[in-house]
Amino acid sequence: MGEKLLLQVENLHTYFYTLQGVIKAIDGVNLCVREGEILGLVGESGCGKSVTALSILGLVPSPPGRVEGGRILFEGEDLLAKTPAEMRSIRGSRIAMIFQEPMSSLNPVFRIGDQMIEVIKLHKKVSTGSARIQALEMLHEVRMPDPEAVLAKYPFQLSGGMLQRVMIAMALSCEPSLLLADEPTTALDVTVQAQILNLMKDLIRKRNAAVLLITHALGVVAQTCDAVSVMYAGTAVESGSVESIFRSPAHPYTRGLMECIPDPSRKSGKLKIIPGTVPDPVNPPPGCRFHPRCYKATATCSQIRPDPVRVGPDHVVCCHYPEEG
Amino acid sequence: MTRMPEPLLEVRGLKKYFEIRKGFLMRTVGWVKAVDGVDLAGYPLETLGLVGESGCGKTTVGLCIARLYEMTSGKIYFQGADLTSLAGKRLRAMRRNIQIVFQDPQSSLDPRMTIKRSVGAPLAIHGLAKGRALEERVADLLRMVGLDPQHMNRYPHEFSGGQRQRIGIARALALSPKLLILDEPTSALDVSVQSQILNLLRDLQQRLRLSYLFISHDLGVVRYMSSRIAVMYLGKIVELAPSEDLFCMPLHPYTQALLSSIPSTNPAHRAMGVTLEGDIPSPANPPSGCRFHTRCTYARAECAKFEPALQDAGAGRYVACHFPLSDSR
Ligand SMILES: Nc1ncnc2c1ncn2[C@@H]1O[C@H](COP(=O)(O)OP(=O)(O)OP(=O)(O)O)[C@@H](O)[C@H]1O
Ligand SMILES: Nc1ncnc2c1ncn2[C@@H]1O[C@H](COP(=O)(O)OP(=O)(O)O)[C@@H](O)[C@H]1O
Ligand code: SF4
Ligand code: SF4
Ligand SMILES: [Mg+2]
Ligand SMILES: [Mg+2]
Repeated sequence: MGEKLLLQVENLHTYFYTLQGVIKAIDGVNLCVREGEILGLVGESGCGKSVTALSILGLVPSPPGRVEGGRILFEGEDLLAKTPAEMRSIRGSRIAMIFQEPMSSLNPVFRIGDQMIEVIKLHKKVSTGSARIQALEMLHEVRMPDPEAVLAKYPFQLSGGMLQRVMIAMALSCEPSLLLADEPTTALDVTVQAQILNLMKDLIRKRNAAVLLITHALGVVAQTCDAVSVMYAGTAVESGSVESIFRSPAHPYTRGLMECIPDPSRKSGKLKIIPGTVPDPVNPPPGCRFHPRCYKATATCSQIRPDPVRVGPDHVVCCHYPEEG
Repeated sequence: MTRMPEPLLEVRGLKKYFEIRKGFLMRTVGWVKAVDGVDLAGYPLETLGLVGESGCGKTTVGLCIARLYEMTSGKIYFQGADLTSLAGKRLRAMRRNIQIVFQDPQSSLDPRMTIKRSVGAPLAIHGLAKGRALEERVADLLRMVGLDPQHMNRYPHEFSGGQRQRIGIARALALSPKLLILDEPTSALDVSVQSQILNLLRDLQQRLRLSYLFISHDLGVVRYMSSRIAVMYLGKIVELAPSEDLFCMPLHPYTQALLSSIPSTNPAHRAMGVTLEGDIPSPANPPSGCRFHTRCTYARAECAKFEPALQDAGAGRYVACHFPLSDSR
């Protein structure tokens, strides 16, 4: 893992203008991914994980959405300043992506082979024959049983786990330096999830590529990632190395999330809870967005938005009163 | 072994096959053996967990027990009475004792009905309450699940996912059942809300003296909730054991693989170790002999030929494997 920054998201704001009002889906998010690093982006549904990914990719549906401010630096270039055509050529080559529903990114009426070959030809400018050979090699690499047969199949003929292997093969075929993976294993069974995560880790390390792995499962982060950013209601509340955050979560929300997962060592007794629910994105609470649910909120918390503070060599938290130890 | 009390629920030889129809004439070309010979017993006040991969038949077992599906064969006894032989009024009276809560509170509530009507519907249908009495009972039920009765004239879309699941639970409790079948009750919820619902379910179990059949694919949640756990694979129970025993020392190779695929939240324990190869086979065409032999690391020749029966392994444990795991392995 290098120390060089590959992707830097600074003070990103992405809003959706709807009939219900302005949804501040992303309201000041900072992130950075280093070369060769797997960064986990975690948070509950609706906190803005997917919109963050779409903003990076230049795929925010517009209307109703718009990136309203901030900078997205990728390999030193500001992605927000790129034309749609420039973004199209970056997507799929230097930045690849996989989503929760592989079916949504595959065309149901074309065979797997044709779709893979087309993608490889588009980005690598090679002949059909050599694209086919590369497609086969990639399917081998993702440990697909019987790759030849898979090339001739239609998407609906493959299981969810197999489709996700195809997606990984396609995503990595163009040697991207960054892979955005939005809940790639959420729809899969645990046994298949373990296969896919292990595979992703292996292939990524081999290529020294970086990953932004979006998930709502802390276990997936603990097992797969080097670093993690925790999001809450459109903001990034805490980030740092996986070791540091899991050992000593400094944000009350992060700590709450970790404690409300059933823990085998505390079988009896009540589970810890975080009271209430996530706020309405049209009218988020002022100050710290977590304050209505936070056990230690003060008047300051409800008025002043906390700035990032460093609580460890590799650990930053946005809270007026970070947890200790 | 301590003597078990009389079971509240007993399932014997439960089978549920779905026809596969094809072509213009919709001829039956085969059968999906969703549940293929399941035996289970649930005891008063206990939570029996049911786990397994997607499509293994968990929901189908639940729906058969709730008598929402006609079963292909088998018997279901509730408090000793054979539900399969009851009919008419007696069946209806018996069925009130078994209620089901579904995963997706969104789709299990009618969006055009107020909460009052949804939660009160079972009472109205059974002619147990109407008018003021019905309203009071609904208010009680809502209070019981931690909702404000003043909101009973609202519609489902005005509630959050967690609140809708509370409404689903209130409706299932309307007829004062003894057994609740909980089919992935928190799978659609965020973790912070999941813990609220799990606490509520544990509370209700104590207060109302309920028994649960808790279906989930989240093994951590099942472990927390259940006293005993049954593991299903392709329509069959492969292992049944007290929860802690199952987690500490699985006897069936499939249980072992399933447990080792759980991503631990401790980054110091990085070991999604004994991972299974391949996907779960189709229940329309299950492998011969032991259904797990195509993915089992311990399979031997006889595994493909002979089907292992679920056998007593002592200490309240049961396993269906020719070569169960043990300490010596
Ligand atoms: N109404 C139906 N008609 C035909 N096949 C069905 C029907 N219901 C279920 N099946 C099939 O029966 C098998 C078992 O399904 P079931 O829904 O019980 O699985 P499950 O264990 O609850 O899975 P999940 O974890 O995905 O909820 C599957 O192969 C499924 O496709
Ligand atoms: N196309 C859209 N139109 C309007 N609102 C949207 C759209 N996409 C996302 N949002 C809103 O933006 C917020 C963040 O959503 P998302 O990033 O999808 O969350 P998640 O963290 O679950 O991936 C949510 O409030 C969501 O409702
Ligand atoms: S800033 Fe205040 S309300 Fe927000 S998390 Fe920290 S202590 Fe809680
Ligand atoms: S019977 Fe054989 S194939 Fe089946 S689980 Fe046991 S060892 Fe594996
Ligand atoms: Mg999302
Ligand atoms: Mg199910």
